[in-house]
Amino acid sequence: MTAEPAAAVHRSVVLPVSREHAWRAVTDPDQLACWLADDVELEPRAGGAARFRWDDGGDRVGVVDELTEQRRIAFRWQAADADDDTGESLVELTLDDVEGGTRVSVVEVRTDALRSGDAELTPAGTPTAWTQRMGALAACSLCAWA
Amino acid sequence: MPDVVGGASGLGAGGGHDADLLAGAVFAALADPTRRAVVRELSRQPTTTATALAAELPISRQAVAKHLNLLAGAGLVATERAGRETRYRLTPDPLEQAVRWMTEVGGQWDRRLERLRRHVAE
Repeated sequence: MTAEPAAAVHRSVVLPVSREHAWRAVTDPDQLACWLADDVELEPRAGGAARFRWDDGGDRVGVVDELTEQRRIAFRWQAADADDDTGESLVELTLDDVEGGTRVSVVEVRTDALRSGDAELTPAGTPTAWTQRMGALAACSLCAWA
Repeated sequence: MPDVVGGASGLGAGGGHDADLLAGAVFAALADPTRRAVVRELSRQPTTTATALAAELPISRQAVAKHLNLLAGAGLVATERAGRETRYRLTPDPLEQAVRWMTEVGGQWDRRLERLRRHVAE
């Protein structure tokens, strides 16, 4: 066995609010600090730096990979502690209009599972194949994990 | 897309057809949320019994046993006899790390999205 199978997590929640409201909740650092972590720094633009800290000592650093206004934000993150070997993963939050509000879908996948052979990942902020890959992966995840 | 599908369903070039079949069985076994809950409970202790699992989960002992059999068929769970008891444990396997990651990260997102839901309701 030369490679591990992809590990992907897919979750979603329907919020009884508008897309505009939901978008602020998933991109405004002050609002992210109300639910995603306890202390959040995030520059909401492609290539923007991010840091997430939790009161239990958790500390993750990241970079925004992709941002489509009111539609999708994707960032890569990993433990700030270099000794932590959980590895880097990609988180994508997508908003959809649904009856009664806005669905927030999240996919988290280890980036080593997304690498193809020895191909290097393109730098954050440049147009990448992430969207297609994540779309394909989300489709796989939906089949496997729904 | 082929690279993603290959990564998601196969175990790489060295794995061969049997490994692909095994990975397929694993993902099928884990497609059911109740079975993922069983795996999550199993990951919390070295070994356990169907009765103990049924006490932790909102399903009957018979339903737990059925799910355990399916997980065992996919190579995710091994059984041991201890006197009259059958004890179950997660199988140490390259897949275990992926399963642990998924159960842990999945649990984190369950909690975060619940906080998000309460946050926007305020």
